[in-house]
Amino acid sequence: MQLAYERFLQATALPSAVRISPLMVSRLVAVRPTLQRSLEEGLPTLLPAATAALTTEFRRGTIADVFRAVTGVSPEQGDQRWNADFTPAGLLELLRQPHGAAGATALAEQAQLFTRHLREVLGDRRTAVLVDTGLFGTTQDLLAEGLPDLNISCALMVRSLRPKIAGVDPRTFGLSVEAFDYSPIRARTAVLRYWHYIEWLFEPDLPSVRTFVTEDGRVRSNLEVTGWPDRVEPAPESAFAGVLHYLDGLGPGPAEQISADADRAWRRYRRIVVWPHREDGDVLAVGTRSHDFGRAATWDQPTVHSVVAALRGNPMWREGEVARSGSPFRAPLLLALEAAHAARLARRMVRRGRRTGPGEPLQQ
Amino acid sequence: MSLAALSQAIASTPNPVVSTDLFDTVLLRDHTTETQRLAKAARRAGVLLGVDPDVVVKLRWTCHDSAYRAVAMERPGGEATLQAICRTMASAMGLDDRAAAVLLDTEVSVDIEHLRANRRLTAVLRRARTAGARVVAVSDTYYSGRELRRILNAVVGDAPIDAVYSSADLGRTKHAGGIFDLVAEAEAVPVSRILHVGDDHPADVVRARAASWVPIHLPRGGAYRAVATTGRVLGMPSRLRRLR
Repeated sequence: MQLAYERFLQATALPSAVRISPLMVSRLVAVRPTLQRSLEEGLPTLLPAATAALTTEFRRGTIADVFRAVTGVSPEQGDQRWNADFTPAGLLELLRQPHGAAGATALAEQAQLFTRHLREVLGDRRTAVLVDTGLFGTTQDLLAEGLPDLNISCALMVRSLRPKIAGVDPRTFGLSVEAFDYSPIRARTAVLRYWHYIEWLFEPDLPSVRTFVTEDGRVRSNLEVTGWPDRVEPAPESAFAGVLHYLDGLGPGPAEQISADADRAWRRYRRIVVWPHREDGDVLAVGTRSHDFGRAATWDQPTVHSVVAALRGNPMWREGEVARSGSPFRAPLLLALEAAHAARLARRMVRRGRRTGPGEPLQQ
Repeated sequence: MSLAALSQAIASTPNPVVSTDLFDTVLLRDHTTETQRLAKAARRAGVLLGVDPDVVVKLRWTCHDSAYRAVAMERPGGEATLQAICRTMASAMGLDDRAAAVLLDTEVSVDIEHLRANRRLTAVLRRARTAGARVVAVSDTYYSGRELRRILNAVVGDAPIDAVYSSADLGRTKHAGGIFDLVAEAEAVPVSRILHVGDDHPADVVRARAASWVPIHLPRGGAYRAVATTGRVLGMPSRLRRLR
C-alpha cells in the first residue's frame, strides 16, 4: 500500500506533508502492550480491546492456545487450568503464576521491543495514522489501548463496521467503503463478499510480524528478512503490477479520470465478485491465506471443485467456488446467494434500528 | 423556550454577553438539503471552470468526507475548513488557487440563496445591544469568520453582532464542547454572564450548559421540520447516488 501511495504521489505530483514510514506490526504484536499494561497495573482482567480481539480470535480456544500465541512459549504441562476454555481473567491469572513465568517474561520482552520499534519510527511525534490492509481496525484499537500516551488513528481502504465495544473508542476509517454488510445497491460493498482478494493484492509475500530481536543495537522483526524491500515490488504480469502500471500512467490533475475509472472499476469488481463466471473464479483465486494471530490455521482454496463444497463451511469466496465448480446451476445458485445476502442485510438493519431507536443515527 | 424567554434572560443578567448560533437560528435555511445545495454549487462551479459538473459534484463529496475523516483521525473534536476543501478539489483537478476561490465563492453564493434572516431574533439581539449587551455569534461550520460575515451581510444586512467565532477558525466545536472555553477566554467575561441561544439541543444546550454558560433553546418550528423532512425524502435519490 505504501508503494502504491508513493507511486501515485510521484505520478500526479500532488503534494503531501505526511511523513511515511513502514511499521512492523500485526494484531499479534499490537496486543502485547495492552496485555503487559494489564499485568503491570495489576488489573483483574484484560482491557476491552484485548478482551474483544482475543475472544473473537480464540472463540473455541483454551488458555494454553492463547498463551502460546501471544507469548510464543508453550505452557508447562501438569496444571489442568491451562486446558480450560479461554477467559481474559484466566489468562492473566496464569501469566502471574510461577509456571507462566517464562511466557510472562517473553511477553514483557516482546512488548518492550515492539514499543521501542514504534517509538523509533515516530521519533518525537505523538500522532500517527496507521494504514492497514485490515477490515475492522483491531490493530488500532489494541495500539491505542496499550499505548495511551500516543494519538493513534487508522485508515483502511474498506472498513467493516461492527457493534460498538464498550470502553473502546474506535478511530478507524474506511476510505473507500464503510458499511456493516454487503448491500446490493452499493457496488463498493462487494469487497465485503471477498475481502481476501484485496488483502492478497496489497500484502507482499513476506511473513506476518510475530517477534522482534535486537541486532547491532536496533530492533528487527522476523518480517525483515534479507532483501525484504525488494520483495515488496510486484512480480511482472501480476495483479499488483497492474495497479502500479495504472498509477504510473496518471498525470497531474487526474481527478476527472480517476472518478470515471473508479466508477467503472467498482461496477466491474461487483459483477465479478457477485456474479462470477468460471474464468473469473480462476483469475481472482488467491490460494492460501493465514488466519494469523500467532496461529498456523489457514483458509485454503479447495482443490476439489464441487457445488456441495462451495456451499458448505466458510470459504473465502463462496461465489467464486460456485463458479469454479462448473455447475449448470451457477446462475440460480448465485441468485440465491445474492437474495440471502439481501435478506441478511434487511434483517440486520431492522435489528440495528430497534437497538438504536427511531431517529437516532446508527453511527456518528 | 421562546424569544420571550431569551429577552427575559437578557434583562435579568447583569452586563450579559449574548451568544447566538447562526445557521437555523439567526440564518434560517429553506427546505433544501445540504446534499442538494452542495450539488448545485458544484455544478455551477464546474460550468465556470470548464470541468464536467458531475465530476465536481462527486469530488465535492469525496473531499468533504475526506476532510472530516482527516480531522477525526488527527484531532478529534476539531473542524474542517471550506478553504482547505476547495484547495484540495482544485489541486485534484490540476487547477490553481484561483479555481479554489471560484469553488469557495460559488458555494457561499448558493448558500446565501437558500437562507433568510430570522428578523424576530435579530430584533431581540438589536435591542440587547442597544441596552449595552455585547452580542457574539458562535457557529459550528466549515466557513471561516470572514465567510460568515459575508453571509450575514448578504442575508441579514447590518447584523447586530459584535464578533463572529467560527469553529473552522478556532479548531474547536460546540458539538465536542471545546469552543466554549475559547470564546469565554476571548470575551474575557465570567461564564455565568454568557447567554447562548441556538437550535441544536446537544450542541447549543447540553454542551453550553456543561461549559457553565446559560443556554436558551430556540428550535425551528414544526412547519419547518415537516418541510425539511419532506426535502430529505425527496433528496433520497441524490443521497443514494452519493453512497454508491
